[in-house]
Amino acid sequence: MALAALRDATVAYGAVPALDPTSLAVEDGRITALVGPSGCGKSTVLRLLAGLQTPTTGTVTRTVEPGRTSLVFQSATLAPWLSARANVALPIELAGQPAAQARAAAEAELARVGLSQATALKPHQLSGGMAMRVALARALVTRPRLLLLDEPFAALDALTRRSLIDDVLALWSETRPGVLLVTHDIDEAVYLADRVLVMSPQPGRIVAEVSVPEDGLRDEDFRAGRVFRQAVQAVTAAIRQAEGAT
Amino acid sequence: MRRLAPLILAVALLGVWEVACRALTLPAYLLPPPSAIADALIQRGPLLALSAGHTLIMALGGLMMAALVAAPLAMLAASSRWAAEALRPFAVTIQVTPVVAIAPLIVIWAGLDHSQRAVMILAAVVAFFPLFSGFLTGLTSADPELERLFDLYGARPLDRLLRLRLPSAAPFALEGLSVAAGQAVIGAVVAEFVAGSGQSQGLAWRILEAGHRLRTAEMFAALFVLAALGLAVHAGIEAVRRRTKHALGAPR
Repeated sequence: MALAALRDATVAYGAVPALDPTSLAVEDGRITALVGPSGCGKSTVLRLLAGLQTPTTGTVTRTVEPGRTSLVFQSATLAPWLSARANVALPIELAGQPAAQARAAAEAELARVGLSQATALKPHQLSGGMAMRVALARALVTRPRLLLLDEPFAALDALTRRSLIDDVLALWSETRPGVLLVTHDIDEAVYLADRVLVMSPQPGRIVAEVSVPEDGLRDEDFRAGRVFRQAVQAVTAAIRQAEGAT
Repeated sequence: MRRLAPLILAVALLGVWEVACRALTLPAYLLPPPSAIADALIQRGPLLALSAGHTLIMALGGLMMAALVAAPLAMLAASSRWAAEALRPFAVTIQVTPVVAIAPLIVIWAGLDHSQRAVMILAAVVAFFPLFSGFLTGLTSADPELERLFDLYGARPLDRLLRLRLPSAAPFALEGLSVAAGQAVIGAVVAEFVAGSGQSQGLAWRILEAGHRLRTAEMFAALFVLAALGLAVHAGIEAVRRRTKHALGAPR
C-alpha cells in the first residue's frame, strides 16, 4: 500500500522550475532510495511527501495517518537548549501527551539507539554520530509509518556512517515503516533500499528505477556480493546517462 | 602578567599625573592630583554611593520599562511582516534621535515636578532599540529545519512560540539586553543633566553641583563612581549571560 504518492507533481519557484513532472510512491514496509546530483529536487520530493509543501501542478496523495510521518535531516537539527531526552520527547509532547509519558517514551527510544547513558546531555556535548542517533530516536519515537530521510548520513565520518546505517536497518526491521531515503551516495542507496530511483539534474525528474532483489540479510557479505555490485553499476550507469542527456 | 597590564598602565598614568600636578603646581580647580580625588572619594563616598544607587534604580527601571514595551512589539513584528514594516521606521527614528534633544519635551510631559519620571522614561527610550532589535532578530532566527519539524508535528502557535521561538531568541535578547543596559545608564545620566533640578539626586547632579562650586576633585570622584557603575552593570549582565549560556546549549 502506498503511504504517500506523487502523481505528475511539479514545483516551480516563480518561473524557475525545481521539479519536472514526477510520479512516485512510498510503499509501506519498503525502503525506497532517491539518488541524484545536488540541487536536482530530491529534498523537494521529500517535502511534498511530508505534506510540508504543495506542488505547483499535479497531486500528492497521503494515506498515512496524521502524526505518523517522521523526518530526519542531514544535520541532526536538535534544539540546542534541550537535553537529548527532551529533544526526543518533543514530538510526543507537541502531540499533546502528558510530559511524564513523553519522557518515558523518549528514554526507551534513546535506549533503543544505544544512548541510554546520554539522555541528560545537551546537543553540544554529543558527537556528530550521537547527535544523529538522537535525531533518529526523535523520528522513531512517534512510531512512524512513513519515515523520510534527507541525506541523514552525509555529514558523518565513514566508520560512524557504516555503524549507523546498520543500526537504521535493524531498527527499521522491527516496525518496517515505509521509508524514502534521499541520498547522493550510490553504495548507501543500494545497501539500504529495495529499489533505487535515479533523478536527473535540475529540474529533476525520475529517469530510471533499479530494483535490488535481495530478501536476505543486508550485511558485509551482501555488500561484497554480486547483487550489490550489479545494482551499483546499474545506478551509476543511469546517473551517467541522465547527466549526459542534459 | 598580561592581565595585570591595564592595572600597571593605570598606576603609571596616575603616578605621572600626581607628579605633574605637584611639579607644575597646577591649581586644584583646574586639575586636582589623584590623591585629592581619592580624598574626595573617601569624604563624599557615602553621598556618591547613594547617588549612584539612585541613578542605577533609574537606569534599571528604564531598562525594565523598555523591555516591557519592546518584547511584545518584537513578537508582533516577528509574527507579521506587515507589522514589522510598520514598526521599523519608528524604531529607527527613536534610535537616531539624540536623547538630549527629546529630554526637555519628556521633562515637560512627565510633569516638571516629577523629574524622576522623566529620567526613567528617557533611560527607557535609549534602551528601547537594542532590546527591540535583539528580540526581533532572535524571534526570527529559529533553525528553519526545526521550524519545519514543528510544522510536521502540527505544533500549535503557542507551543511554537514557547518551545521554539523564545528559546531561540534568548541569546539574541541577552545580547540586546547587554547593550541596552549600558545605554540605559547613559540615558539616565543625560536625562538627569537635562532635568537636573533640586529634586534630582543622581550622579549627574553631583557632577553639576561640584562643578558649580569648582570642586573639581569631587567632579572626578563622581565620574569615577559613574564609570564603576557602568562597569558593574555590564559585569552583572555578562554574568547572567554566562550562566544562561549553558542552559541555552551553547558551548561553554
